[in-house]
Amino acid sequence: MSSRTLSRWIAAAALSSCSLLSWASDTATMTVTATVVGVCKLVSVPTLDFGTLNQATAPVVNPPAVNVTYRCTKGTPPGSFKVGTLTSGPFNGVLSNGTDTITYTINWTPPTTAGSGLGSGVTPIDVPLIGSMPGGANYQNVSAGTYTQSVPIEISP
Amino acid sequence: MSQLARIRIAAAIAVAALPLSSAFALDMVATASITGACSLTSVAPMPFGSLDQITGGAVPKTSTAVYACTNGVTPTVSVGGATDGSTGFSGLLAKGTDTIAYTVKWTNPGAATGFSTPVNLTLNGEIPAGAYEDKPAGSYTQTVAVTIAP
Repeated sequence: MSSRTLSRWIAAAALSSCSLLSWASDTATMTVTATVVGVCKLVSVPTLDFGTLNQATAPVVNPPAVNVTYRCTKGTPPGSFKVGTLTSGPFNGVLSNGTDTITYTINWTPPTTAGSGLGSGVTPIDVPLIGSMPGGANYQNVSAGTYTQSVPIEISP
Repeated sequence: MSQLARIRIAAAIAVAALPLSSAFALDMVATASITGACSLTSVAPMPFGSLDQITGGAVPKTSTAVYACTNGVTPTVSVGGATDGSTGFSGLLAKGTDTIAYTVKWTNPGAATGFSTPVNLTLNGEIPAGAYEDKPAGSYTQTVAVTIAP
């Protein structure tokens, strides 16, 4: 065997071995996480309107209940529901026209219904607020005008 | 020419015909092979954090995979079996039977320049709006295989 022939044989063997080599890859894992925290959100807080008061007869005024509505995280009930700073009624309110005042109360049953989610397609849950205004001297001698009070409503999981 | 002279001449010719050396030479061929290869140095977690159901909306989060490949090799990145970064991987974070959908997309890499030059590959995750607003509270997770192949 000549030297040139032997060289060719070795080179061919080397090339042949290359075709048997595998291509190396590598794999790792990525951990993906997210956390959903239970929350509650007020959807609507209506006006509690006692209407036009009749000072001549001055009856107790019990307007129709109004519904505060809320949504909570699915499976999460409200932990607290406050009217003013109170978690249970009655809330004693005072309407004012800047000069005179008229008292009233709000009662409610603390909501316990767990939410079904906060998506817009989820029907909000009602919390009826029942207002009541004493009659007689409570508003019989006050000046004419519009009486208002803003009462904070708060819900939390 | 005498008989002795003839013998001397013949001997001289015979000596001249012998090879000066008996050495035998062949070339030695040295070879080496470079196998196209890639390695993942690290893949960071992708924590979307606390999802705010009150504000809602899409939640983006990025992660980084660090890899290196043989010079000239254009690697294929696979995330959860998906190999095209433009369409990406669609995953499901799970908490029991509850799930939150998300996607991971990336830019398909070009040719590598060698193992001494690690490459940072950004993995762009997103939980789309509407995917989590109605889900129960808790921790959701998924483990996804990231593979780089030459």
